[in-house]
Amino acid sequence: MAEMVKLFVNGQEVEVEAGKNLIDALQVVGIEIPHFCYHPALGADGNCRMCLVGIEDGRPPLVPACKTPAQPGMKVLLDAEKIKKIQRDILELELINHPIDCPVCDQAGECTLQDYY
Amino acid sequence: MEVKILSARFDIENANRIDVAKQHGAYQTLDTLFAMEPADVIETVKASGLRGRGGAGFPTGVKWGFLPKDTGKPVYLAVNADESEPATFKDRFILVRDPHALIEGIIICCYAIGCHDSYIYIRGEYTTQVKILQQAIDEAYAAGYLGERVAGRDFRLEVTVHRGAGAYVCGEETALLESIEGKKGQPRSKPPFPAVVGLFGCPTIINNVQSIASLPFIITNGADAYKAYGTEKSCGTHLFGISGHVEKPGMYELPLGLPLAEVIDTVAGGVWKGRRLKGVIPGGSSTPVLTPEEMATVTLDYESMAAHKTMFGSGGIVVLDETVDMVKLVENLIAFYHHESCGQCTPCREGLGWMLKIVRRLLAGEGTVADIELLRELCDNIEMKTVCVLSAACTMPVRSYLDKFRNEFEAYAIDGASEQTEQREG
Repeated sequence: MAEMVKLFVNGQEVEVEAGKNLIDALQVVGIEIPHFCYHPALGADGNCRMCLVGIEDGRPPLVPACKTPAQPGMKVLLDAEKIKKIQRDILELELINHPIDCPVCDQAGECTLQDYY
Repeated sequence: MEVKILSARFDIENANRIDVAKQHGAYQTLDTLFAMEPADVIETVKASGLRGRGGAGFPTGVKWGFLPKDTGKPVYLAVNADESEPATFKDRFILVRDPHALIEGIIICCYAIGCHDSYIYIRGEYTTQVKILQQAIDEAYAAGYLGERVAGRDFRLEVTVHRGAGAYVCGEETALLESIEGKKGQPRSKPPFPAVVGLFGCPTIINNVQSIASLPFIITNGADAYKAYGTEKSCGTHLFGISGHVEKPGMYELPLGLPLAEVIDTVAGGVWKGRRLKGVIPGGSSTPVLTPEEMATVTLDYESMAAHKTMFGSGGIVVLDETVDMVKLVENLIAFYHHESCGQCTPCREGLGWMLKIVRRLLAGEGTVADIELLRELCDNIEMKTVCVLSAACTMPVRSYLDKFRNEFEAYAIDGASEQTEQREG
């Protein structure tokens, strides 16, 4: 049985597996952190920057969730307007050089670019 | 005003040859050094107040202290000779005119941190410089200052020169490590920091050439002798490279803390051709620009620069006269950073490209005032949300030009022409 720790997401306390990256750890308790470049089988590249979350009183205050292990007492900010703006900005930047051929694209329907839009 | 600490041997003919260098004091610190405990060397460097001369200004001794003890892993030193920050041309003098000072500094650093294998990462464009550097290293090996027994002591030290291949981003410490490891020069996420997980997964110190070359003076003369130069928090001397619209551009070694305006007028002969000063870039292209009013009160040290909302940087001072088109300057800047972006993270790769398109639209007379706002907003959207600070190195100065020279951007947006054109034709 994995060691569990208590941390806060948007002020609410949740219990997650210690040391697991925040994307995987919070997914188990039903909290989704948007991300593009992370996949459990391929590792965390940490460069799409979509999964940036705020850490209250944290240094640094903004971290990529895919590269941040869950620690006890962490105060994760996900729904704050500041974080949502970052997500919107990253999505906008990703779409600059994206073909946007949804009607003929194989990924349509199971595409996180569509989901997050 | 000028001093000769780092540049003590620069004007001596053939000082890059070991026999000449030794005649003028090279390798004399080694007896003192090996009589000290490594921990004492670190304390001395801390006490000297030496700060990283690559641009960030992090206290060198403190950085060395971050190395974890007893990991069982070898410790590495990587000397950053990538010197790619636009307007910076100081390290090349050390590499060519006094490479033995650098080698001596490497011996000092490696003894202090317990490193036996060090690398010098030199930018690929330094084709003549690398030959002189390698020749000096070969001489040092032949004379027994490098190799299995440094100066006859029970201390092994290897120095390997690794050539870069033209990437500005490889001056970023973790991208530099990736490049030495033979991988793409893309910066790593931090944490973990190189002092803990660096080259080949081992604790690594990365220091700029000038930082390392400053060590022989400190060990020979003591920390207090170094602190005698500069200000309380910005100790020592720096090789300042003054370029741009001045009568006497060049490399000048000065103590830190002198007034910037006085330095430009005294050592560099002031703004050239009797023209009016428009602005000064204080420490390399990544530093926010200073207006003539701001320049009047700023001194060449880390604290004063920070108080003026810019940075001390790499000592690359660029003087801009009244004929400079700030919008074209910004286009040049953004084009550079966009080209040099490693491309791994979204805000930098896409954002800088967008910024470039906007400023080019403005220059073509097709931009609007809303574009200026967008350019400013993009600076905020990109900065500090990336893996490394290359993007900030672009957005911070661009923001300063937008704020301080907004009229020039508006002239392009509203009239479709530069202010200079207006003034000439009006």
